[in-house]
Amino acid sequence: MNEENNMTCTEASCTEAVEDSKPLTTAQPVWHARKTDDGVEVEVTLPGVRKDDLELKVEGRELRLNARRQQPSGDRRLLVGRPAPDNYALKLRLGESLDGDRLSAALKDGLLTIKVPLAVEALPKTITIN
Amino acid sequence: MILPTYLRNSSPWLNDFSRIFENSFRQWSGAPSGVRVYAHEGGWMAEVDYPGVAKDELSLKFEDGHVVLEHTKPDGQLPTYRLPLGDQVDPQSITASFEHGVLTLRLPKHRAASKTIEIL
Repeated sequence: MNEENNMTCTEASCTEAVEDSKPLTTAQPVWHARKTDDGVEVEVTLPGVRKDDLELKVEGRELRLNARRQQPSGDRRLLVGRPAPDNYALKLRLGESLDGDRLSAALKDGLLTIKVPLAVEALPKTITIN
Repeated sequence: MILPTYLRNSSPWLNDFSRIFENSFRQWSGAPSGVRVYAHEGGWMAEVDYPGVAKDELSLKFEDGHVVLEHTKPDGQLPTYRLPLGDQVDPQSITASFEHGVLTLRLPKHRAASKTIEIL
């Protein structure tokens, strides 16, 4: 699969878009990050996303997230509100002091929590005075 | 048989009924972002995004023609949403589910819409 195409839609969902002749929508999810004692914690809101439909990648200093939202099937017409996006995509740049290789993530009730620890070199050190 | 137009073709005023119902949805005050109401053949469906919220923090009830949605967090209560329903929704058949941070409310139409009424 082409890496760049993957950012907007997966191969399977693009095929579906052709069949339904409806373009797929991609939105940037609402997110925030906070500093913790041992790194950074990022929370990303992904309502309607199952664990299997979420892809999280670290490439170099970049954290990439792609997710597909579950949409109820069947004929229906929107009366109130804006349509929910079909996909979510987010790119975050990891700071030099963070260790992307030791990142951990958990998805619960549509909320993804990513913990990025500080790189060993960036951890506070106590220097023994001789 | 000569009948007035509105009796010969019942669909225009039936459409009006559904328009009134849909308008009450449009006038729903305080609809937050992440709320969607859909119409389908069997009735209506409302979806509310609640990412990161546990199922037991939400409560739903039907009262005075409204669906009342309450969200209680351990550190206090958040705004209550009242969704007005028209006469066409069967309150006894309303069902709700909560999955992956999305609350789905199914609001079926009264079956009585196609009932034969006996003339006494």
